[in-house]
Amino acid sequence: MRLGPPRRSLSKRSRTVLALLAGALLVLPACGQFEGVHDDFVAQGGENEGLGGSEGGSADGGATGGDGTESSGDGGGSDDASGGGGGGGGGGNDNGNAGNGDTTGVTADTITIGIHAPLTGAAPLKQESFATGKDLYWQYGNGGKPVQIHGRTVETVFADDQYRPSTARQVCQTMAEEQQAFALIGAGGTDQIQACAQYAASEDVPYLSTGVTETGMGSLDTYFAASMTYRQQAPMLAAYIKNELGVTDASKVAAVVTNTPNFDDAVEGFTGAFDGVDVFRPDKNERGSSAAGNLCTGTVKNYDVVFVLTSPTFYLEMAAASGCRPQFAGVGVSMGLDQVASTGCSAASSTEGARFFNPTPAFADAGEYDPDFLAAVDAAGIEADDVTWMMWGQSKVLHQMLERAGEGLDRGAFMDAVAGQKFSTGVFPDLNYANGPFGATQVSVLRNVCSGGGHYETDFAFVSGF
Amino acid sequence: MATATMVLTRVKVQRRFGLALRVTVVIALLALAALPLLLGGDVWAQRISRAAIYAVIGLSINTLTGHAGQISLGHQAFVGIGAFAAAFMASRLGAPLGFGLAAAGVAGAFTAVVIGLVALRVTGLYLALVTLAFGLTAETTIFNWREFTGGGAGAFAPRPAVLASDHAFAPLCLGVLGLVLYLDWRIVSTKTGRALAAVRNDERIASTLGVNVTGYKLAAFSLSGLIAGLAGGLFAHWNQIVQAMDFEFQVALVWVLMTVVGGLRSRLGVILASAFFALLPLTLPNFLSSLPWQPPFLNEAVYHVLPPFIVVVMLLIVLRCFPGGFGQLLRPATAWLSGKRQS
Amino acid sequence: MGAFLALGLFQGAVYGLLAVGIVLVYKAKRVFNFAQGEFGGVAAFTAFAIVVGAGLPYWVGVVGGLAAAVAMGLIVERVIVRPLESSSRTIMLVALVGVALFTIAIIVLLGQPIPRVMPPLIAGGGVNILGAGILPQQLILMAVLAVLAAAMAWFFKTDMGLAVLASSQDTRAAQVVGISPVAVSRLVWGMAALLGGIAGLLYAPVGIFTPGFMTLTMLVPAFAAAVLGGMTSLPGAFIGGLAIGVVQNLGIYYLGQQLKVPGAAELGVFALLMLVLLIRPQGLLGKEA
Repeated sequence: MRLGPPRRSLSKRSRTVLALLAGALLVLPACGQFEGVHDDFVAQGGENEGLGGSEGGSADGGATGGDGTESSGDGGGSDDASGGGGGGGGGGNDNGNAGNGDTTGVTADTITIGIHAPLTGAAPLKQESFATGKDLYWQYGNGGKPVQIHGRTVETVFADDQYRPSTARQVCQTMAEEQQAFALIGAGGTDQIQACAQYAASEDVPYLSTGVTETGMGSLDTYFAASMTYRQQAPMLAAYIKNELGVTDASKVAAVVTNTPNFDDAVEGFTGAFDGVDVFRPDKNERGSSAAGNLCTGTVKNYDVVFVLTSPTFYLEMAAASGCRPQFAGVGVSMGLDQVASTGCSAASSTEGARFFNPTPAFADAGEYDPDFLAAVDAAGIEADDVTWMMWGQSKVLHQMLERAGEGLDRGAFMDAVAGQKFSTGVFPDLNYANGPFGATQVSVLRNVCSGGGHYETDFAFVSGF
Repeated sequence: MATATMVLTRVKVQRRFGLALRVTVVIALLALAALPLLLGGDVWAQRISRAAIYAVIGLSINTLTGHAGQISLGHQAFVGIGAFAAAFMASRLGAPLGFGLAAAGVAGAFTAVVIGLVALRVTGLYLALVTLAFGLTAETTIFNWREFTGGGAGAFAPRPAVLASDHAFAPLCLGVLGLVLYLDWRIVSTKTGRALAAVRNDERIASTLGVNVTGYKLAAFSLSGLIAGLAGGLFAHWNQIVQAMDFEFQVALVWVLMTVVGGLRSRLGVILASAFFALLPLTLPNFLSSLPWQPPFLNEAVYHVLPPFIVVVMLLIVLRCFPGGFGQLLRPATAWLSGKRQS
Repeated sequence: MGAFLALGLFQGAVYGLLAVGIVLVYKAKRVFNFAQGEFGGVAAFTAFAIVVGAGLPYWVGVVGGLAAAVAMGLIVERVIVRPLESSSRTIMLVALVGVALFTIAIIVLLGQPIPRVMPPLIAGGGVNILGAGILPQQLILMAVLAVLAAAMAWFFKTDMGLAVLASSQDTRAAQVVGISPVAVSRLVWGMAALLGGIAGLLYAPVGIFTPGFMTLTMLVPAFAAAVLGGMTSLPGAFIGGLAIGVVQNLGIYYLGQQLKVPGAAELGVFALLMLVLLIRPQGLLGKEA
């Protein structure tokens, strides 16, 4: 007990109290179990099936999963440069629990899915577009009529994860267990997606998200990334900066990446492909304006191109405070939102010309890539935006997956039907899960245009290299 | 003579009957509270745990603000340090849960002593300011120290096999709550409690009475830190992941508000208010969006930002209309249950 | 390094502006006003709704924003402060914390929690001061701060200001000589709200603003500035604000970027606050109470 000085001055009674406390502290250690910790961590998300074979022998790997318990999981092949998250073997996320009988969220005529996204916090999505966008595909995606999957329609529930990993875990549990969601979707936010994915894996709930980090995700056997991970995109971005933006001098390039271990893989990927760039790692709750002091000296540029991987609010603050207007470029999901472009443009056009890799082409060009989208928007009579568009694409991916899982839908059958398979939607990149959960190889490049209200336009659609 | 005996017997019978009735009511209320744990799924077990953890935090603030009369607007620092200590013990050292919780309590108490030694030299409103600034510093400096807390991704706090299920974890949280309650009761009913009351009412008078003012204040501070750290340890294992953003300073403010709404020095009030504040954000949005009638100007998304609004409205109502909080509202009931005559 | 010094000075001007309002309320009512930041929040969001939302001229937005702030100040005074006059200062503090959180919740509820941009008073690029790009808006802010701090210091020399001070020292005696405590209370809260509103209106166009922007990041440094200045000194609040801004940014430069300590800005504020309270509790310019 560290209560030294005051303790001497206390009475006998309070000593009794303190002694009680001390007793409690000593008793408490006895009620834990050493052996359990590791297994539990495994069940918690460190599950690792990357042993090679896709034979369905061990039905649930939870108890036997070997290493990969560190979230940086070396065993899971998450550092594998090829991006094959399953590491050792093809179909690494096929745990062979076909038809496991877990039909949570599936009734005779409905399937419920749960979506989490930040509506408050540092990267908030617009509430209305989210509320209307989440059901658009399921209600109007079938030529203006509700989508039918083997006779079932799809219902959605959603929750605000507040841009916090721990809230994400709570809301995912609530959606999957109380609201009976069959599968979960993460719409954005790396740390939140990781936290929810690890929960989903521990409870064998299918989980689909846009590609974010690979750290601790490659070995999750219920997880599927619907677009390229940051680790996969970073070398492509380096090539893009060199070949398309024409900046090859590493000393003229900076990277501003939020200080979370989940972005370490993206930083490694970037610096590996672009040796010698300056890297700044601001904290998650730091203000963007303080980072601007590094990018500019007055109105003189210290760097020609700045790779940003932060929250949108941070990026906008940094851009607004950078009087020298460097060229911003980056990867990610939430940065590609028109909301971000429009806010950045209204701050003295500070984000004009910024380029971001995005899962989908720009919302402005949606009609070109999927005319059904505009038709559905008309049929629903809503005001669509890019959040709606992004939700549309992700729903379309999930639709194909559910379709393939067949009529006798359960969580095991779903996982089996997705692992190792290919999907193509024309909105999200083409997917091939033959080598694990990071199955995308294409991105679209969006450019921030300020004239006519800030928005993004498509520079490249579905490219796999520069 | 005979009449007198009869009257006496009747009084006795009534007392016994009254006691039996009171015990029955208490047991019935406890059973009612336990229902969600028994009948609800894992989600409800988690909610009960969260309510218990919040109640422990509320009692921790009650120790400091209610008993010793000192305010802390930086309690998230102590809770957070406990949480990260527990997570560190569990995920890095692989230590058993008990050691993790002990470390959480010790870390909370240690931080409180260190801060208290310095902060208690300033009084009243300045203490609020110092603790607020310390909370912010802890949040941005200590909790973002990657080697210790995992930075932005947070730290994992896996549970041991015995407590892996949410239903097994909830009784642990309730047990700790019970322990802290007992502690609170002991403090109040001993000399310590009277000394703290003297300090709370007037420090100068207390010191002329021979009460070691600084000593008692520091003891209350460190005890509060210990309880807060313990709550943090439970919080870490409750969610199995903790991150710096869980301990933003708004959270600490809400904790202070909930203790005040519950009613300082009212154990039952603090527990009820804490449980209410803990559960509101988890249950209200889904409850409202499942109602058959939806107001036209609200959409589902708005429900998610309602809870903080409701919390503050409750505080303002409490301060304006019944400053004793829930405790004051409940006083007739608690007085009857504890068998005291109402005056 | 020079850039950080300049950034700190101009950041500090905002703290100073908030601190002037905090000192005003403390001098007159011995209350720590935690709602000071949200007067600015209300003003900024009202002005944004008028200028960007409704497309009305800028001056309408400024007047509307300040009116909203003052209205909020008077409502807080009537509904919260006056009824709680007799309760402990801790309860009053908690109530004002509640007011701040309530205001943020209202703003989130009415507008969305998304980042917004308020057009500046004078558009155009920044000037280079010590290597930092300083916007015209920030120069205006600094000038306004100096003027307001001086004006407030002068106010307490006028009859009305002396009446406020008299009322704060002995309400009953002041009442005897005809100073109404209610009028004084209204005056003080109205003026504090006006100051907060000005701070919010001037700071919102510097970069991006979100609900709670004045409370979540500005309020604690502003309080530290007020304490550094001695809590009752208006010139002290001015100097304290600038000092806190500079310390924060030097902290970011030396601790954060050179030594990679996370949260260097907050650490700097906390360390400075503790130093002042322990070594010189009466602050730089404060008199012994």
